[in-house]
Amino acid sequence: MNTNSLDTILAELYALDPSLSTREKELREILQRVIESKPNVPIDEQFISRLRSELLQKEIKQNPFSLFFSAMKQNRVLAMTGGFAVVALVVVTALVSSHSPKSTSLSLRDTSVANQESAIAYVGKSAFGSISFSSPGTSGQATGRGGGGGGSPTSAVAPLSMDSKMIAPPLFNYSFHYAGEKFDLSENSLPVYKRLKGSSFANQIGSLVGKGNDLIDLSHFGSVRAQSVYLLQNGGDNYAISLDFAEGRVSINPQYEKWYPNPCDKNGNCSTPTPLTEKDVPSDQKLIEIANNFLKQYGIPMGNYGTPVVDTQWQQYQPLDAAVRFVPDTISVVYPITIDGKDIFEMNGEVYGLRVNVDIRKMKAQGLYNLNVEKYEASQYELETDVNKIIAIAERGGTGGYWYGASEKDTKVNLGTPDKIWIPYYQYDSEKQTNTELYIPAMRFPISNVPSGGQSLFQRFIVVPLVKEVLKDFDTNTPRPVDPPILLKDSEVKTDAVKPETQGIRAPDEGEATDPNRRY
Amino acid sequence: METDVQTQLIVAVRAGDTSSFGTLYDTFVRDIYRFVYYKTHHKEIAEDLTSQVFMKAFEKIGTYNEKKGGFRTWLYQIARNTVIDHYRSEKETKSIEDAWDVVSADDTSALADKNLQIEQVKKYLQLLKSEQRDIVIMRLWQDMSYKEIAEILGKSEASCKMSFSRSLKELQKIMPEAIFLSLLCAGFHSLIV
Repeated sequence: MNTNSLDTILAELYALDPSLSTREKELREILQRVIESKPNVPIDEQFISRLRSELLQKEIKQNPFSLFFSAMKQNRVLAMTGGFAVVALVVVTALVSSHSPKSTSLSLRDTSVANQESAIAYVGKSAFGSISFSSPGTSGQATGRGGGGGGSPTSAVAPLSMDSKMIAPPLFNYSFHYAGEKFDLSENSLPVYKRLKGSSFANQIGSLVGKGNDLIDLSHFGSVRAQSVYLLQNGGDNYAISLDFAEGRVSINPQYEKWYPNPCDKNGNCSTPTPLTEKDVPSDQKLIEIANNFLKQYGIPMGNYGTPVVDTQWQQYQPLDAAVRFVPDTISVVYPITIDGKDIFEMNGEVYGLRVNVDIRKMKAQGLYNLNVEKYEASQYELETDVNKIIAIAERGGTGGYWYGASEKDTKVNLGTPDKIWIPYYQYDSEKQTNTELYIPAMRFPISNVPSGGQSLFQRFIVVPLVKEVLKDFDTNTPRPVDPPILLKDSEVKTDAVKPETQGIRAPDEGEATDPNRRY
Repeated sequence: METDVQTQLIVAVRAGDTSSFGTLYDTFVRDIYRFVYYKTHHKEIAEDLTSQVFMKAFEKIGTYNEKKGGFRTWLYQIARNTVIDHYRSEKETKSIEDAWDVVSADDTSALADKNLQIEQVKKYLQLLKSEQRDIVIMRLWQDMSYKEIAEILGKSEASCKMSFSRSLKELQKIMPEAIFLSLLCAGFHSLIV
């Protein structure tokens, strides 16, 4: 407290009791001593964050109807559909409550931190229990969303931006060799993030359905909550919106019968769309513009995402035979997410985030995936600090591994200096039948020196998790390398290697390293 | 935080927007924690009681009446009552309202954080009544106005000022000896340096 404040306090006292002014010196001294003795109170910011997270997961006892309409005004995801109709596929999983349920607005993202990072609550060390691949009660790691796909195993899965015309190219054998700079792993632990999926809006929806339908009186079932809601937009762009409350996720798909009517007439004559060529692929700028306009039109908040990039992974899956090379009908624009300031990547090292699929024939956004409740808990887990061990696992192919042993031919591929990233890691508990979504630290090694004609190497990175528990499982549970399939065993792989540049699709040249700083 | 903004946030919370409570929480949590800590001298107890304060505030926000005072003073009321309830339930003595009232021979030294700053004035502030002490803490350590203090304690501003004045007079009686000694030491030090 400064002198002016002290003078103010004294003036207030003298106004009350003028006689005190004769003892100003003593009063000033006393006040100064008390003020100077004010304890310095260190505040544990982790406690502050944790309490905040607990509070915001609580519910307010309110009238569900007033809350529903309030949510309609506030919630952008529902408001965007305009005149929508609630249609048949409402799945109710519990019983309707006869009294006012606890409910609140669907908050896919904490709006008080809009345009800031996701809400993080810091919890104790190893708070999520064992995240080992082979821990008791778990059936191991669920399939991640690598390769450009969207959705989780328990929700609507986004189609990959690929075409069924694609033919698998011949397989090559590769051996990876680290050729990067020296690096260290000095941190003993780093946070693992667990996404908190639930939405209390589910209870509100359950109650409304219970009260509002004529088929069955759900009040007899007691308390219900909605697990998922499927909405169809009436007219307009004819989107279908899937709200998965269990996973805390929203996805948007086209109503296929409206977007892609049956190409066959009643006589069985079918029209086939003209195959797309590279000339039909819009520029990245145009694709991003279409995706941005879609998000703006439907009020999807973009503040928590990074700069959007176009998913070019479809170019990696091209067959060697130019005659059967294809361009997909949809190309994704990815809006990268960060958690607690950490950039998140797919398990294959490619960028991860909100995905908007653009139909390049219609030049229109076809759908959206990975719009999630962005609330997390963070817990420190012990890391592997032995650099040589990490490199050894990378040279064996990392998390995915490579299938076959090194061939006699020169198929040596280099790995560059890694960077530290966070990747999704799913843990399915077979006993509880629950899927926990975690994000764990990992090292990402860029691949370089891919030989000409090496299109069977469908990846640009090798990723190695750093969490000791997880690493142990990848290290020991899967033998590397495995024997090749019987059909290919002892057979020579023959192919006419065609340089991809002649077909207008650019693959990494020999000697060129993939830029790890480029998110795509 | 401006009153208008605060009012809008409270309305939003009542309408079901929990995220607005997050904004209110961010604004006041540290001040409330410090206040609770000043009264408990113990980190874990302060955290526990601060949690209780905001849980109660969240649950009871429908009962908050703007006409009776600001949201901040309402939180302080809850905080003060929560601390009192904590110590009364633990000590089964109605005269115990916070850690200052706990006799040192009992368990204070074991429970309280070793905070030398508090120790310096503890013996003086401990002699004040709980309400007097709260006024001193809120006025001098939290820089609150008499208007806010009055709302928290449910008294008039004039009454709070009087109480503060009496507190200083009492401190004046017990502290002059310490002041004299400190002045003496300072003078002696200046002679030998």
